[in-house]
Amino acid sequence: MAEAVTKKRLPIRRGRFVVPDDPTKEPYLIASRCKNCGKVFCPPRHICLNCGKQMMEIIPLSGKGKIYSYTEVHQQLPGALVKTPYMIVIVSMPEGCQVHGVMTEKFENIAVDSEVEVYYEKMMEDKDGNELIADKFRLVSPSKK
Amino acid sequence: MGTTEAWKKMREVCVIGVGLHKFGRFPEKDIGDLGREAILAAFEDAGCGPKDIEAGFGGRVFNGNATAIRLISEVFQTGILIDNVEKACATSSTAVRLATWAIGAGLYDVCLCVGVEKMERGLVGGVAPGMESRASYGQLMGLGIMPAEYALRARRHMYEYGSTREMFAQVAVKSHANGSLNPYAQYQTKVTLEEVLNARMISDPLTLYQCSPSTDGASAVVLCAKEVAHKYRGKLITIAGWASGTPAYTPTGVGGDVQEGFIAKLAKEAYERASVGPKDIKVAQVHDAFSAGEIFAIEDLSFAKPGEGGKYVWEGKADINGQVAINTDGGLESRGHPQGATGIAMLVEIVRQLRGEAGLRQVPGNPKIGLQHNVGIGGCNIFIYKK
Repeated sequence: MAEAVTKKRLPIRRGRFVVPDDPTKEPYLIASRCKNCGKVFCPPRHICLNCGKQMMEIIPLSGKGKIYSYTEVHQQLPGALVKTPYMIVIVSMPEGCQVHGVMTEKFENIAVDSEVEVYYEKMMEDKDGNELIADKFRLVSPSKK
Repeated sequence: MGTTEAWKKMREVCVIGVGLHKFGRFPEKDIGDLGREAILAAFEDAGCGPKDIEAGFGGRVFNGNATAIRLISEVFQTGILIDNVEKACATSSTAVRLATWAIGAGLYDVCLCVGVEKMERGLVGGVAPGMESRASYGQLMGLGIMPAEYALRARRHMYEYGSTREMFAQVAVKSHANGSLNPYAQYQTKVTLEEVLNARMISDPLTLYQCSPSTDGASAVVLCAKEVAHKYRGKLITIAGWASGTPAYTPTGVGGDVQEGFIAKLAKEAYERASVGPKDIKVAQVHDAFSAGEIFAIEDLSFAKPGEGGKYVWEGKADINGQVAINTDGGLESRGHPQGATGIAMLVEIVRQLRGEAGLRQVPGNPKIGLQHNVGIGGCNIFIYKK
């Protein structure tokens, strides 16, 4: 695994999830939480929309949540790396925020309240051969509804 | 808030002339050609000309730099103030609101507003070839696409209220039927419920016919202070009330323009300013960029209770001879949606309906009050018009 030492996993875009330097540790989605009033924002922001204070701290999200809504997309967005058909989902997180993400596999049976979890996938390589990764969601268990 | 009191002190503003360039695809024309025709039609309708216009407002969404200046300069160059405006799909209704404020405040008596667009086919918001390195996370991952915005809310609506995909599809059946009666519409062909449901899926539950097309077109309006309107031959339609606001912004663009509860609050404000209620509205042009949008608007504007918008359309209450005739010109789906021109096109249709000039699609019973609801990323403009 000499290659793994030289080639890194990097987020395809910064600000949505963190990739630990330690390659044995999993990436995690992030949000910001106001230290003054406790409100959580995803994506993270600097100023609290609830109390106006600039006392945000970055918190990791567990990466598990429930589907709030979903749509199966069949029209390709020009330039997107994700190819149709795929699912856009809004996931309600236990930390008190919602995350918009995609599901690209085994999404046929999802429903509102289905439990999903985040995972990370290589989307492309940069010019140095580093893996550029992005988050996706997958079903944890079929909805009981 | 202070705005209510300030509004009461403003002069009454009215529409004296409206004009459109037909909506469709016109590869042989540039935006100047489209805008010129709409402006000249509005002048003809109002019985006014360049020397009457004291200020101009307008714009375009894509490549919008200096659009209003260019369009108005096609017709005249008299040195008046011209402001370029951009507010996504609510661009030209924003131009109208700025002109309404300027006239209402007594700064000008007569203003011209114009909107235009020439669009590429396919989804908006993608990444142009060679620009991938600048693409946002949402673009790379296929998030933040407009039909999906509406589909996500539609899907939640189905879950919470039991509305059906047939109800969303019925909006497109109605809009195409209305569009078939409008010579200015991009699509003048009726479609059946089965055709809508079986059309190519775009973003489930929304099929092709439930999505507004990409369109070329232009629209223009002459507004004036009511106290000087007698100088012009145009039939007066008064702007009786308006409300505008900007909902929460999200960096992904997801959800912002369909934020729950936001538009309902604006609608209440507009009704109060116009001293009318939802039951007084006989004709409305609402933002059906995607069919579900009409159902959300029906609820937000209190034509139906929350959750009952789908049933409202399904039962024909939004038809031309229904309770509130909605999107009588075909709406964004069938008339077409050249984004910068849509806001004024909605106004044009309300004016034609209130004047009784809407031809085969005329709302019966001599409608006297109409409402416009135009939504874009960055805000919503609601206007109430009276004759």
